[in-house]
Amino acid sequence: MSLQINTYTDSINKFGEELCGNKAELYQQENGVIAILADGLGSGVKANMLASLTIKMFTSMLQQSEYIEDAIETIIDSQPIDANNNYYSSFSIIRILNNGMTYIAEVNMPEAVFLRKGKPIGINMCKKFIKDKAIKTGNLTLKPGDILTIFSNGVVNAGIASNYKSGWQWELVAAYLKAAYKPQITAEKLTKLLLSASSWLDNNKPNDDLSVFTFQISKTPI
Amino acid sequence: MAYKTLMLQIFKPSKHKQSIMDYAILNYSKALQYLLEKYEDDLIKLSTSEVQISRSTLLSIIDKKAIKDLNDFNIQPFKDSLKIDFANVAMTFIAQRKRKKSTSYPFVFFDSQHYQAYMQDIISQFDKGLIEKKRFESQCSQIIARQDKLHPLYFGRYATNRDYCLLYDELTDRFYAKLYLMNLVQCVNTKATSGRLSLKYVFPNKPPLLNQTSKKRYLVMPLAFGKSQYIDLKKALATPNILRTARLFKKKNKYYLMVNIKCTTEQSVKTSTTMGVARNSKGGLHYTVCTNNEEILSKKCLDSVPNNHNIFILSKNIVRIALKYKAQVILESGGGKNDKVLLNKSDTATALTTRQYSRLAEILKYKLPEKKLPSPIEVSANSLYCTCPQCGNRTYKNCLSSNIFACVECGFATRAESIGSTNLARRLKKYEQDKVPIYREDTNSGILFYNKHLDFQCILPLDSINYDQMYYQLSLMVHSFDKYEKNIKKYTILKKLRESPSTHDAVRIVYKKAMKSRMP
Repeated sequence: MSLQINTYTDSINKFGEELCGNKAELYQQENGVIAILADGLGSGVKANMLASLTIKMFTSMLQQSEYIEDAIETIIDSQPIDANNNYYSSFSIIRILNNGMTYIAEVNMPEAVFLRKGKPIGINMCKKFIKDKAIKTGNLTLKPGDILTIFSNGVVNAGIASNYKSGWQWELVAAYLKAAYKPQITAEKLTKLLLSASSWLDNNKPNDDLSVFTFQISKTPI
Repeated sequence: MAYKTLMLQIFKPSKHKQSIMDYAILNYSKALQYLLEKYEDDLIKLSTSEVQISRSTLLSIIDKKAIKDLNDFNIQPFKDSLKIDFANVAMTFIAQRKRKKSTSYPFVFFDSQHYQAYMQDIISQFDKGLIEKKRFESQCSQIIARQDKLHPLYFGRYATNRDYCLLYDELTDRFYAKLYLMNLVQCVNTKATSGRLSLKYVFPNKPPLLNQTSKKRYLVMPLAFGKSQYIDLKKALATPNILRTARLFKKKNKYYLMVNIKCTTEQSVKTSTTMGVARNSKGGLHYTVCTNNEEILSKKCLDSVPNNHNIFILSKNIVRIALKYKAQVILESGGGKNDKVLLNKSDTATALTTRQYSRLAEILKYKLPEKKLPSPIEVSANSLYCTCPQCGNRTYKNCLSSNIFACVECGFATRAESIGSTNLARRLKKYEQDKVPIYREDTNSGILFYNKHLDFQCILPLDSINYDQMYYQLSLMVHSFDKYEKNIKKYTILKKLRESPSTHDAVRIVYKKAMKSRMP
């Protein structure tokens, strides 16, 4: 059975910054889609450049090789490291095939939230290390009605500066997506809601760049 | 109307005066208990009836024989007050019994005979299995606590020649109480006060107390009080008509007179903001001050361990903040029942109960007018903590955790504790913007428009395209009302429609599915 994949992504810049330190890109292929959400270290111009660099590298890798895993390894291999041993960019990559087979890879990014019939379901992720850098990968099969959401670190840490000591954290983000879910909800609405809530937690003055990428699966219209 | 109670201590009464007061309070308690016992069946019967019970109904059940019997208790000086007090106790009981069937019958005084009889009765009921263990324990503890406890003596009138009144000595700047406690048989032949005093009644024109040696049915005793009471008494001296009823009672071998005074309601501070004060999910209270444009000026927690003393401190703080922002205070009605405040287990000890919140509301009703601010407005607390202050979406899903509120409709998110007070602060504006619903339903005879609260009905032909005729009839009805409407809901809607420049703008049409039963 062939599925229709509806996607929506949006970002909110860190308060006072003109450029967003996160970048998202969607690649449409014959057998499905590949999406990447990159979060550059820091904020502003520097973060924007680092995120763009990661996206560029990934784009050129995809053109040269079919294997997404190879592309991820190459990106990590070639990434520079700062004085504190931090990589210059974190990223999440998702590949969804038209039959629903999905591959997720996360490097220093919050875990994706997977909603089936409106309830968050844990994804079995494997952890492996490349150059001491942890990569979490997982496979799952999506069905019509499923929703998969990935977001930047800024979303889970929202509220740290103003209201909450440790932000609202992944568990509450997942709980919020569950609460906001309705059978007729769209990827756009869910993305905007999550961004809005994260921004409000910082009194609409986000302390970090906020980005959300939502994938909604439905049956292909006949 | 707001009332305030002044607690005035009777300053060092002599042993003779103490014995007279003790005797009066004892007799009063006995007499009240006598009435309650005599009319127990009648009151229980009334509590089960659907009829609205007024105070005059309850006063009328006391027959002539009972009134005559009351003389045996030597309570002639306060017989009228006793009847009013009986009616008040009975009314409270009936109202509570109507709400909660398990409400026990009031007992105001147990002497040793009664105590033993009641105890035996309860024990035998428990032995026979007629009452549960929990009820047995509560009834026993209630009776033990009330044994030999006396009911405060009620003075229903402020008068110079009966019940009670206050006196003032200009030379010493001291206040005195004149209490009618004796009947003609008990009265003593003495002077009212020592010759040094020149007492004047706290009454219009301040008539002097004639200090002649004659038979007196009253006692005159000096009063002791604090600074704030002194200010209130001085106010009473200037405007004596604010003095109302009083109660005399004994506590820890000291005698007190609790005087009710009317709070002056002249409002001079013109409010420009609204201040919502809600129960806090973290304990204590939370307030939010909003401008008329719904912009938040200030929001903060008022933490406090909830006890009777701290409720006064909380109310003082609220008055101070309201005065600073010239705010109209808005509170949750019914003590905040159904506000759905999410409490952590650790916070339940510090959280204000509905009873304590109601008490706070009562205090604010006189504390705010004292500072020339308007009385607090109480609005429905239903789902206060799960309603989005931004878009008005009301669902329990919005309460993400005890700390975070996140609206699932508009994406507004904030600390959960401020939601209640923000909603309260903005509720008046919301009420103002709300439109009056007029229901539209298709029937066999035409399109029916109605509003049950207004008693409004109008039928238009089924092929009607515009509803001008209906709007015209509605505006005719609205403007034909020029008297006060007893039904508060109807009155409020009528007032809203009347004040609106156009009826079109003040109503919204709600489409209803046709029902067979609703035929004009």
